[in-house]
Amino acid sequence: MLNRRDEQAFFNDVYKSAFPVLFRVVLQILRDQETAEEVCHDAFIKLHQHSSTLPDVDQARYWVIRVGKNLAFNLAKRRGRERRAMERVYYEPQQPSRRADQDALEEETIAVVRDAVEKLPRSLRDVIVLKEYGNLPYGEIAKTLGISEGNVKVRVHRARERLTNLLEGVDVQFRE
Amino acid sequence: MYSSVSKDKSRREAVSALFDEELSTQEAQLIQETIQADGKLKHFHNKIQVLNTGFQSFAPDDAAVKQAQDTVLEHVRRTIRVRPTQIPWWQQSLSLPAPLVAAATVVFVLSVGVFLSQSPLFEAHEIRSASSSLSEFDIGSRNVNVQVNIDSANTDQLLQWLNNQVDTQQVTIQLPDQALFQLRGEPVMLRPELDSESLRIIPMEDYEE
Repeated sequence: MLNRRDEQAFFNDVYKSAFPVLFRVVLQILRDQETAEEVCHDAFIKLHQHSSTLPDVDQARYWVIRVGKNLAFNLAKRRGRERRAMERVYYEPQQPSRRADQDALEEETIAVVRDAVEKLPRSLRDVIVLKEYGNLPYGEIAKTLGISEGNVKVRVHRARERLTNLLEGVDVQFRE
Repeated sequence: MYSSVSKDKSRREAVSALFDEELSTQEAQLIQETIQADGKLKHFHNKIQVLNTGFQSFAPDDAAVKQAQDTVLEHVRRTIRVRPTQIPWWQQSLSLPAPLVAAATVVFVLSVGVFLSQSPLFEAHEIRSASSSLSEFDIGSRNVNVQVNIDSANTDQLLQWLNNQVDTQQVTIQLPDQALFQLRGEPVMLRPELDSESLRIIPMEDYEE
């Protein structure tokens, strides 16, 4: 006789376990709290719809993090296209006004770092985002993305090499 | 030279792993000694530190995460109450029997979108005779709900048929609860070019625009 699991309890366990990681990742991709919450909401609705196909809490956690990450990147890409379309129409870049102080410099550097991350090849970008935004250990990243831990280690390194090369020559300003 | 390049590369990988606390105590000690003795490695280690400082400077704090967690959970609960996950009965009431039916292990309900042309639009509930074949059924530019019974071993023929619907802009596949298997993830069908012969189903967790 099969034991039917309590789907509500299952969902709650996955939510509690996955949300902090997913939210951190999505927020830093999208750079907007409200939108990040919406994307997380959408990811967990999809989890609710597909939870019966996911065998355990761990697999469900990896699944929802992957789905949420992809939703965030898709939205960021669409917004980038829209922004560029607006720039073409109005003939000037849609940038926020700049303040001439340390905060402004730091914000600009943060934007440069984030843009650099988005320019990485997907295989490297996904790994570095889960590592730096989600603060996941290599083992968890490996299970989330379905690759080996060795692969994660190599890709994190390659992503960092590319990012440091991309930022070479940029006046990087971070508070101590 | 190759072994020197390879050794350098693996040292740099080790520096990266050291930063992530992914090395054993012995490995960590070894690489730290190497960093102290090698100016280039030290420089690389410093660059990773700067990068990491940047990443951490825009990370949300625990309180913000907790608040968002509660807000989103409340929103999710409201959405689940309002939006049932089951297929409504009116989408299951149509039938277009296909010659591929064997054990009828899968039922797809296709909601086909409209090609924006001058063709008249109407919502039609198509019911065909049992002798109709799937390959003969052309959706054209109609807006129509179609229920297709198909053998699970012949889903590639379904894909081919969908690909042949050249006027179709959007297809939604919904799998009713009574299906004997589920599609893992939420499939997304892509048609890169209208005249392309390739059609893929990509699980949602791997789909990226």
